[in-house]
Amino acid sequence: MKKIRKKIAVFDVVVMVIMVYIVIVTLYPFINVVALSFNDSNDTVKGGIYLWPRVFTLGNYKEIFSNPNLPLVRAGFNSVLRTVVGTFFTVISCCMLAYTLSRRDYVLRKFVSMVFVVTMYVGGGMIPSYLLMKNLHLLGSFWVYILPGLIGYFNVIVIRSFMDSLPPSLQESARLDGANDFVIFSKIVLPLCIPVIATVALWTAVGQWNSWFDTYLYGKDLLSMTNLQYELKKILDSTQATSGQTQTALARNGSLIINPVSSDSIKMAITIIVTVPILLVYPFVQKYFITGMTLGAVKG
Amino acid sequence: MRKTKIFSILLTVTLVTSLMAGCGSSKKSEPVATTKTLDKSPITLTFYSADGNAKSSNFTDAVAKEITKRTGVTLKIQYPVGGTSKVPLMIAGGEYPDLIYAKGDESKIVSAKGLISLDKYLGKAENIKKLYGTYLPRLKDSVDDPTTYTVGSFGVSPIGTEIWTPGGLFQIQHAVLKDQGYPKLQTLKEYGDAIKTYMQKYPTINGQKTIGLSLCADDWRWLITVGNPSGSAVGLPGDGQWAIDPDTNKAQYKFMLPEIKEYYRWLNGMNASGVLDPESFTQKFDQYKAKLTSGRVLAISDAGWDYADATASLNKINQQERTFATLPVVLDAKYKDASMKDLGWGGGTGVAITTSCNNPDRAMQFLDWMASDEAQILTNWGIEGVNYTIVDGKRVISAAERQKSMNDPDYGTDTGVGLYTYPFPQRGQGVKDPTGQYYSTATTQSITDNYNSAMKETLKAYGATMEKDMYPKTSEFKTSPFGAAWMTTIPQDSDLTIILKKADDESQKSIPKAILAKPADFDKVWDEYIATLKKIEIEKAGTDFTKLLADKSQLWSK
Repeated sequence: MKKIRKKIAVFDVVVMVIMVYIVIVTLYPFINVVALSFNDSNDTVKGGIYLWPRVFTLGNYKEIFSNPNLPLVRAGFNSVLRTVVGTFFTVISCCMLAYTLSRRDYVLRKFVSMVFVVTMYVGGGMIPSYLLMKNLHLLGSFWVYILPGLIGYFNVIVIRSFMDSLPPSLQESARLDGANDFVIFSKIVLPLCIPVIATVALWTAVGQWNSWFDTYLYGKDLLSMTNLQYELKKILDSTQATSGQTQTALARNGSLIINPVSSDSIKMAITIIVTVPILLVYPFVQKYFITGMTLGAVKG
Repeated sequence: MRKTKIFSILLTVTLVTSLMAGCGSSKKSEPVATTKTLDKSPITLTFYSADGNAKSSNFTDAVAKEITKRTGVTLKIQYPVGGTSKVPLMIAGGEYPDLIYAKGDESKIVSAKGLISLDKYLGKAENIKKLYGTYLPRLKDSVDDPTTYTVGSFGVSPIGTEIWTPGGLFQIQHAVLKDQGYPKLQTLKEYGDAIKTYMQKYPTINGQKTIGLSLCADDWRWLITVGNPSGSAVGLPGDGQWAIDPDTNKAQYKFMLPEIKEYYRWLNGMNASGVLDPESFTQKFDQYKAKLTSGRVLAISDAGWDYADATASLNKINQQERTFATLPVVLDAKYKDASMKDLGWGGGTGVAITTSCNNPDRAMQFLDWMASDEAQILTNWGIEGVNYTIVDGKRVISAAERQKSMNDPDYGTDTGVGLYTYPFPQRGQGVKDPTGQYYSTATTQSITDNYNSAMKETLKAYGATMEKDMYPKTSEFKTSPFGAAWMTTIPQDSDLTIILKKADDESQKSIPKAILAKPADFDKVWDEYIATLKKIEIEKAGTDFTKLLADKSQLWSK
């Protein structure tokens, strides 16, 4: 008896240590970013700021919110809009597709699944995708954020696996009672899939919130189409990215100012601004997320 | 029926008369002042700038508004985000912004026929002709296609304009020079010894360990801190990776030269004796800057604009003696530091008008206006009464304004001063306008005024008034018939591009290896490096590049 107790204790300790280590490694950079964002930008240049701001200031945030060239309100609105609308339509579409593919009596089931799997590995690349959007007249339209990403086959597989684990008797009995396919889908299957829907919704929402590259590639009137991550990326980019040789030529020929650089503190501050909304939402969906991840554990 | 008939006659008459009205107007003679015929109706031109960024490309500041007031043009500036150029997309989709500064991607657009030829406009583009002067042929594209597509960037200074900033690469702290009584440091050995002596005397500075010589080889910076100083030490001018014989104009990849090998042997020695910062090849740019700001790095081989932030920070915390003086250090007395050589205007990439522009005449008018005297003064100096005042007919920037422009990192973004000079046609430093004043805000006076106290002390001790006085004069060197060699556009799909990329990658790998090796192994490691270069046909690259330079000289002499 004593021996077993000891073994468990040592194991627990080891796991604890590893977990604590992982927590530190993941949490520390974030705390560092927060500290830098509250630190005075001139002081940040000297380096050496770790957990706590050396010269506390709210100036960085003030500067970001009052910057006339940073359309924070518009960008924030667009980010929220595309996250909500995008997630909604994506989840509905993926669920419908998953339901169809989960029905064993669907004749083309195997064939369609295989075709979709191919899409997970094969993609057009940047230029063909751009040409596709152009020909679909999606360039510069808000729907370019929603329509192309509607079906992510990985999401469909996750939902379909979950649906497969539901007892078929549920659907049979519903059919006996006179329900048609759509009623079975919406009234019986969907409510049971809430955990996995929440999971997929979270993944999609985070993906929508974080994406900026499609804004860059496909956006036309960027003032009305911009989103928070794109603004963040623009600011993060304003480092001395101009090649050294251009700088040499400019210095030789007397250019006073070329490519003014955003200070590190400003970059950190806007990173926090863009991250906070997701941080706020996560605790509410967390319980679904954990349930959804333990798919196999659900017994019919 | 009658009504319609009368109506249609009236309509026809009106149409015909309006057509006639259009015919008779071009009898006007060439205008005296450009503003008379300048079309100032509001127009928005989209402009993609490969070097733009969120801080410099909003076109909302005071100077931008003034540009719009004087020309009617509002620029909508786009720029790459996330390091991805949008040019391939533009070429694929066939849609371009009105104006474009494509830099490295320019040749792609030319091949895709996305740019319009500016040849037909050049005859009437008075301001552009005046600005480029004898350099106008350098705007041509290539020997195979001598069309002018772009109006090139970077300041244009006629040959003979004085060069004021040597841009030298060997820096040493003022404190070190002062401590040793301002010795004459000419050779690398003297330079290294001065650093070593100071290091031994003061093992710590500001509570931290003293570092002798630190390099920042992070990413492309190795070219500036590791690659270029070797050329500078053996008297090569700023031609990038090339050593070009000034008499025969034959080009060679500079690392093949035996004297360059000796420079790296010296660095190897510095490493072996503990003077070289062991983190030189692993540190990131931010760490390097932080080290410089802490005041404990005695020497660096870097370009002034690269560490300007650190200099500004040190000035702010009143540690001027920890900033750097630039010295013309060479391998040994038989070489002359060529930093002051006049390479002439290099041509290269510039702003172009694309085939998607609906109003190319207007776009060209704008570009021509940007080259005009009034535009140059506006973009360089700012707005009269706000950024500068006129005193006795001369432009004067108040001391307070100058301070702001030097120390406030947001000065450009807020005022717009200096934001719209590059990449548009630009007058170089030291060029005078018709009233005898300089176009750019830099004057010999402003440069000396901006020296900090330590620099002034050091210069006085050496009997110089400006940094350039310590360097061999411009007049001691021949001018270059092909500009700065590194600005030569190399055709995308040529062997030269591939060989050069492989060579640079190999250099970036092997040279640090040679520097960090044990002194006894240096020759072995270096010989291996040269053997690898020869295997990737570096000699063919030299011949190909020589031909490119010859072509350029030929194209420009037409």
